[in-house]
Parts: sequence; structure tokens; C-alpha cells
Amino acid sequence: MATPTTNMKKMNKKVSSNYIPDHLSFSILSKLPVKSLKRFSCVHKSWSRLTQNPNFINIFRNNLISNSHPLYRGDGDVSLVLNQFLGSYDWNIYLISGKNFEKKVKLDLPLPFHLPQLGVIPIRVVDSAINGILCIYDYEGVHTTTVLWNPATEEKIVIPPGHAEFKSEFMTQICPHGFGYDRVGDDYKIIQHVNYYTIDDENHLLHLEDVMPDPFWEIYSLRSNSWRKIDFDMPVIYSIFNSAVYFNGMCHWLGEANTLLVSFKLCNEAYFITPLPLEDTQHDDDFEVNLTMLNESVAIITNWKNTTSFQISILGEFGVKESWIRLFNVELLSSIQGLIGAGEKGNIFFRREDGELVCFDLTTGLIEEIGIKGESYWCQMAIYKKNIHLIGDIGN
Amino acid sequence: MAQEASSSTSSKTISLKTGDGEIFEIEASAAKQMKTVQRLIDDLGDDITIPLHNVFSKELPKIIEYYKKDITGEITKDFEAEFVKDLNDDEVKVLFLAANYLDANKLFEFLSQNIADRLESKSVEYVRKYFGVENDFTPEEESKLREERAWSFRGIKEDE
Repeated sequence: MATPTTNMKKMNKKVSSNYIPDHLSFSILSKLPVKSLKRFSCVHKSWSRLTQNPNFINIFRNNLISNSHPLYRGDGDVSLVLNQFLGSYDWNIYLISGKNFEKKVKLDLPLPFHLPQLGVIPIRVVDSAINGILCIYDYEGVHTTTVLWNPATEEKIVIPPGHAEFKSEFMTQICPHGFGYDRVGDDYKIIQHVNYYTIDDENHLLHLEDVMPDPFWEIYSLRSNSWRKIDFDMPVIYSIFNSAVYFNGMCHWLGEANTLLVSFKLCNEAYFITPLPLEDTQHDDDFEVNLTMLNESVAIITNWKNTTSFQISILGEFGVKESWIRLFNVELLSSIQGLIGAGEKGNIFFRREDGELVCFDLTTGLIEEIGIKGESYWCQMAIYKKNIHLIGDIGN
Repeated sequence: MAQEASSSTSSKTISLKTGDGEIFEIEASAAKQMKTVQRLIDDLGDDITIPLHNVFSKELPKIIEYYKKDITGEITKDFEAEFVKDLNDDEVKVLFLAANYLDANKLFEFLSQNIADRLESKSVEYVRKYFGVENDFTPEEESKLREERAWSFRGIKEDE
């Protein structure tokens, strides 16, 4: 590291004992949150170009991915939970751990999801595991059974039905959007959307206002064991594939044809809508947007389907489109057929063209096979920390 | 001489002389963590007093305190919080620059994060002064940029 004196003459900035040379200020600036970084772009012209400076972005993103995910700090049995789809009625949930993903434990799914002689019905895990609890629902069921399940204790809580109506004149669609923990109310909550529709001759889903009840949002509280309708006009989730995540009291999902991020705060039911930083050409069904958390930042991983590259951007401030920062542009040798999400540190999971689920390490640039195969898009992954307490014992 | 000393580094102390002429002792294993010091030891031997022209008697004891804790493997979040608790922003900056000069990486990274935490909610003017940087925007350019980044100024007190 050079001493301050040599740089002072080069930069032609104010010479004082105060002065911190650029390469040193990078060390400080790269540890700032995005909002501060963007504000300090007004300090000096060279600072206004920081996020386009590859050296700076390199330091910034290394900082980001080298910090462990909050769940991995402290002690506790942390692993990845994988929801794997292999084909009709062949759904499996695995707990995966170990540096090379060598330890794999297949879990026995709770009973409501078993069909005798057939296997397991299509299930989706809502968001991430919270306090060692998974929220699972059956994707193709008529009444949508939702269960809170703790694999470590095998405790399960079947969530009672909400306010959805079922009549022969129309079809009812129940879509859980988020599962999370409200720290203020010390409560687990689920937010879901109910829609009513019919199918026309061209197989389009139609909502007919006169014939059907209005669609609505509702929230479930474990403490009161009941659902409550809420009157919000939030965009619904566009794709059930990897576009919802929970972190730190907020449920996030992508809506409006994957052009908007909705962030719903569980404790006070406030929500933010942030447009995604997409170009016009990227408003295309072949352009995949995957919502995940990169350590503590909301992140999107994007990829043109069946290509070998993906990009990662993180969000600086809710509601502000300009606060997305592009951190990674990755070129691989294999073709990506379905991004799954981010794990710990710089791990990005996806399905490779040969069907293998793999992990790409952003720090080393190496790809590691997990040793499990899966069908496109249906696989989900989340960070899971074992918890041996009762689900009802909230706040542990 | 240096070869013999390295076999018993655990008990050996090194003398450091600050830019303002004061002498401080540190253990050889702590000196190893400051690469500049170690390079000087390698060049000059470990029996003479190592001159540190750019570090002064105000900050060196604090740095020694940090690495004394480090060689016993005990640097916790609590220790780090306590370490900077009574320091003002300028004092931390002096330590930061000294850690850079000494090539003491662990302390440098910790102080970088601490300074970032202190500056997070500060105003643009405060940061300019802190980094010793002149404003090279014209008034028009600056107000245009501030308008574009208005969202990043929300909740921030200017002119602190």
C-alpha cells in the first residue's frame, strides 16, 4: 500500500493531513449501503462514477458475498433445503449440507400430501424456511392444503381454510404469496391471494365480475389461527417459479409480468413497489428473472433462457428503480436451464442442461454438482436452520 | 541474527520508535501481523529499534493493544465495539491511515467497516471534509445530480 504523500501530488486535490487517497477510500466506500453510496456520488466527480468503476464494484461485491448469511452466523445446524421435482408425483424434499454438498437427507413429507399408490402431489414451498419451519402447499389441489412443517421435530400444523368460496359456476385459485415471521407481533403469518375465474373456448382464464366474487388478499396469523381479508391493490405474483422470497420481516415477490417487485412488511402491512431495472427487450417470457436474497440484500438473477450467462443485481432502496446495482455478469461454459437461487455466500444454484442441479461459486468461479437431478424450474432451494422448538412456541 | 530469533519469536519483543521519537515494545508475533514492521525487521534485524516515521505516539499504543488481543485469538465483536467506543471520527481516521502504513490488514479492514458505519448517515459536506476532497462539480452539475439522487437524501440532515 502506498503512503499518502505520493498520491497527494498526483491527484491535485486539496493537500491536507486530512486527505485519504482513492485506493484507501475504496476500502471504506465499498462497505457502505447503496443509499449512502449514491448520495456520496455528489462528493466528487470521480465518486459519481464509482458504480461503473470495475475495480470498485469488484471490492464492493466481494464484501457482499464474503459476509455470511445471518442464518449461518452463530452456531446451529444450517443446511440447504431442496424441493426437487423429478416427474409426476415424484416430489422430494432434501436437506443438503457439507462443503461439497455430500450430506443429503431425504425427508418424509407429512401425510396430507401423499396420494396412496401414486406418490406425492405437486408441492411448493412458500418463500424460505423460517426458524426451521417450512410452509408447504399443494399446487394442484382444489382447496389448497397448506401446512407449516418442522422437519426436525416432525410437527405439522394444517392451516385452516381462508375466505375462499367454492361454487360450481366458477373455479377458485388460491395462491400463497409469502410466509414469514412478524417480529413486532411475535407471530408467523401467511399472505395469499384468492382469485375466481372461468376458462373460455381458447383456454384463457377469465374473471367475470358480475358472475364471480371479487378477488382478494388475506393474511393468516398463527397466533389467532385465523385468516383476515385485507383490502390492498398489490400486483399478484406472475410466476410460481422462484419469484418469491422472505427476509427479515418482509415478503417479496415479482408481479406484473416480472416487471415489478412487491415488498410486503408483515408487522404493519405496508408495502413497497419497486420497478425492476429491465430494458424493453427484456420484457419477454424467454428472459428469466429469479428473485432471491444475496446475503442481506434483495437480489435478482436474470438469464436469457438456455443461454450460458446470467447477471445479478441488488436493490439499494425499496421503491427506487435507480437504486438497483448490477454486481455480476457471469459467463459459464454450460447452458443454464432454470435458475434456482442463491445459497450461502457466493453460491448460485441452477439446473444444467444435463439435468444436474449445480452450484456456481461467485468467488472462485467453480461449478460443483450437488449430485441430484431435477426438472426445469420446479426445483426450489432455501437456507434452513434446524430448530427443535414447537412451532407454537413463537419467538424462539 | 534474524534466523536465530525466529525460532523463539513467541517470547521476543521488538522495539518500535514513532515519528515523534517515542519507543514502544511489542511481541514479535504481534509484529508479524503488521507487514511493514515485519519487512523492516527482515531488513534491519530484530535487535535494533524499528523506526516508524509515519506513525505517532498517539496512535501506536492503540494499534499495539489491538494486536496484543489478536495474538491471543480473542478479538470479539464486543472487544471491537469497546475499542472504538471513545474515539471520534478523526481519531479513527488517523488509526485507519496508520494501519494502512503498517500494512496491518485485520485492523485496516475492521476500521474501514467502522468508518463506513460512522459515515453512513452523514451529509455530503461532512464526507468531503472527512476525505479531504474538494468539490469539483459546478453548482449546476451538483444540483442536477442531487435532484437525480433525491431519494438517497431522504432522512439525512445536511450540513452536519
